[in-house]
Amino acid sequence: MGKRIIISTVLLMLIFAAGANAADVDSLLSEAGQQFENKDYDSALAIYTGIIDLGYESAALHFNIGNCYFKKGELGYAILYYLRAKRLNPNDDDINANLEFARQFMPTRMEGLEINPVSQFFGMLTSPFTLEKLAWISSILFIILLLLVCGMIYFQINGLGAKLIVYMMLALFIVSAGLTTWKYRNEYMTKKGVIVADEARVYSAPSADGDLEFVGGFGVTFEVGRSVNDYYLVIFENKRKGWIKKELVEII
Amino acid sequence: MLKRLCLVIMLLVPSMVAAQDEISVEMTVSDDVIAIDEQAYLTVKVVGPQQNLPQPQMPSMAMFDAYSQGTSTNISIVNGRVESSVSYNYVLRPRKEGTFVVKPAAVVHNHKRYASNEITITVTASGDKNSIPEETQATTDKGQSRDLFLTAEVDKKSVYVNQQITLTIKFHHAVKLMSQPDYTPPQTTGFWADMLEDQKTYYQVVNGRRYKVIEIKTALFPTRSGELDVGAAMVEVQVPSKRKSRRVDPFTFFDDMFVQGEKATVRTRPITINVKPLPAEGKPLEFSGTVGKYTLTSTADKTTVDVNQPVTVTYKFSGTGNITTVAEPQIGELKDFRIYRASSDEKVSKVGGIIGGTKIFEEVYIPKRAGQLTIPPVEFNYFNPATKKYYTETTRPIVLTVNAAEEGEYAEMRYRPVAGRVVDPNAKDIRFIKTNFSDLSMKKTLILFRPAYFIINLVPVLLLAFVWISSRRKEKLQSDIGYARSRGAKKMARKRLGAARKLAGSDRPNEFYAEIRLAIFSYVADKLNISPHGMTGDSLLDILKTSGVGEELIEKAAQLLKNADFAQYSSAGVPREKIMESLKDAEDILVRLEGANLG
Repeated sequence: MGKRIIISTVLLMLIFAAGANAADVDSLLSEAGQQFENKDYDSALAIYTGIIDLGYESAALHFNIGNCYFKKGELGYAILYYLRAKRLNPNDDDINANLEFARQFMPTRMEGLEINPVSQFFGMLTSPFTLEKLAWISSILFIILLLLVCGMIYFQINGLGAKLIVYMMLALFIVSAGLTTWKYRNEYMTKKGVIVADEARVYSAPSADGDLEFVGGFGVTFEVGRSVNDYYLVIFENKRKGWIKKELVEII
Repeated sequence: MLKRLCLVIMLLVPSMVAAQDEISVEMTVSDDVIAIDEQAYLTVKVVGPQQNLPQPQMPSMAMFDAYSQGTSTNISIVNGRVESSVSYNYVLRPRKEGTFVVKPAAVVHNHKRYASNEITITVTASGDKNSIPEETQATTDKGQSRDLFLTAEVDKKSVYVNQQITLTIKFHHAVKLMSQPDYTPPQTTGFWADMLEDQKTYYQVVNGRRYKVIEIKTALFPTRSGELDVGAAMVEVQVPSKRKSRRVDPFTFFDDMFVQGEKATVRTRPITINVKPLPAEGKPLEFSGTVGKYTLTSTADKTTVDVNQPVTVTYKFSGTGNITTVAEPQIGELKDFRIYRASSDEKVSKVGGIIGGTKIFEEVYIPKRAGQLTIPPVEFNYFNPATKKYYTETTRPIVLTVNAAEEGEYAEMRYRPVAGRVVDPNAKDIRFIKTNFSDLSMKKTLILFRPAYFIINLVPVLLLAFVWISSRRKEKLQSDIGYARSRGAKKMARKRLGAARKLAGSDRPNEFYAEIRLAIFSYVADKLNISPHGMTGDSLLDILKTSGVGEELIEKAAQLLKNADFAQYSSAGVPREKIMESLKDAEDILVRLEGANLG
């Protein structure tokens, strides 16, 4: 097993030193898949994360890394990578299935969750789309709207039907732009994290000398606030706050 | 007026909504003076207008060992307004003597922090708080009133700490009540009180008189040793007045119909209970203070698992006693397992006036390695007041067969979904890795910040601006003749100069100069939206002067007009050089007039 890891690492280093091209990356992905099938999850993980380090991004890649971590028993990291994959491809059935499967093992549940119906509604509307798709939909609607207005002005069209079409396009654009803004604000402006350690103590101050607020288990997600020394200020879904050591969590 | 009303409503509604959204937090303690070997019961009550109230952040209680005893929820609807409250109960066991302040608990809701009151607890040395004198006997009062009276009695006068006492309050009345009795329960400071059952109503004959009796039973658990008082209970009620009217009225029938009522108050006497400390003899080191009679069992949901698969072990405490004070089993660190608290559940029974029930703790053990692994037994100590002895209940060790993880063997896994999420209950393993990487690409900047995205959205905006400006200009040209002439002046003048240029090569200087004159006259007339007809050289020069055109340009124009006049009225020919010079001057004048912005 150890030998395989060394071989894979050397292979990776050689390819990366020479400057990876698409064909190299394809062969690496195929090699990683082979290692996974051989249950050599460490080697597969080393190759997949090496590709990520090269600057590549893909929902499938994150998904496969999540699977490697799951098989290694590191469920916190598995959930982290499934969440990263979900952000890139929220509609993927496999990603959602594995994320929920891994979440079954979470030892802690957030109590006292407040469901904001507005947030829930917006979340339901935007969850099937990536930010990129929503942004393009908004742009297309915006362009069509402005072209329609240009046409009306230029050809001096002032009929009720034309106005109705313009108002309809305007409404669609406002809705799509609002959803895009919400998605951006919710998923990109707000930094989110997940506990990857088996246990993470949450303190009332950025120090282990602070009062212990509670203990969270892997897979629990939160919003990341400011950072002081080695600690993040985190806000959990049930609005409980506390300071958590950076090494126990990862930013999604 | 209507606008003002709307404005007032708009200003009031948010404040009303905000007021309705207020949350209150209250912290109470069963006894503010306890001995070092006793325990206090702390309750934090969160009250608010919604069902999902936030969980309070508890203050640091370093001087106490605090154990959660679960929550209780109450929802009420008054005048159409929903109010719910959640009480979080804790048992506090002091670590040392002294007076300690428990800082306020707080909840955060809608970015606002709501804090409770703070409380002070005095912890004294064991057994030195026996300061309450014996004042009354533990017997019932009788006959405060012949028509109605209130009695209180207890089943035991001498008990151990945390042993149940049953307090029975009986309200006797032999007259018709004119209002619902207003019952004030007795002060039970130093006791953990729990209503045993709903109030009972029956008839009883006392001293030969038949009374209707309302009976309330309460279980009391003393939380400290010493002589503790059960305070006076009180009932206030409206009864028919005994005063008779002095006037003799033949129609006494109506007296009964319009009988006057008066308020009557009846009380019980306080009862003193002698509470003995738990005996030191035979007390286990790890004794948690539980009093009663209990059994403890443990069961695992499976005994054969894979590495990293959870095994849920259920610890079930059953018996009689204050079941809410039973603490979570203490399980130390185990090198072969990760251990997580899964849940706890409590069912309190009140059969035959005895408090008891079951309390279940679920702990999840996740084996870290393969092999035969043992979950060690758990010990639980309690004091039985009936036999006056300490007992230890021990669970059996649970042996697990842990296999190395293999694919597809998750069928036994317990399914505990997160609310709102859906997992296929038949799923046995994660789904396999993907081999299609069609979405693989170098990491890109977020779309909203890409220049291409910005430009694509900017183009239609620029197009709209262009179309709008063009349209406005077109409209103005059609509707404003002055504007249209001014805008067309240059074009028209150039056209005339073009015609003059053609004539410059011919032998018709008269016509050439006529075109030159017309070009300049028309240009000025169009720019100022005046008629060119009747305009003379002098009037043109006057117009230029009043329009603020420079002297040099006016002189040049005057010279050109003079040359034109000369050429038109002179019989001598004009040299070609002179004509070309005049053409150049005319062009120069028009260019400079355009710059002078006559319009």
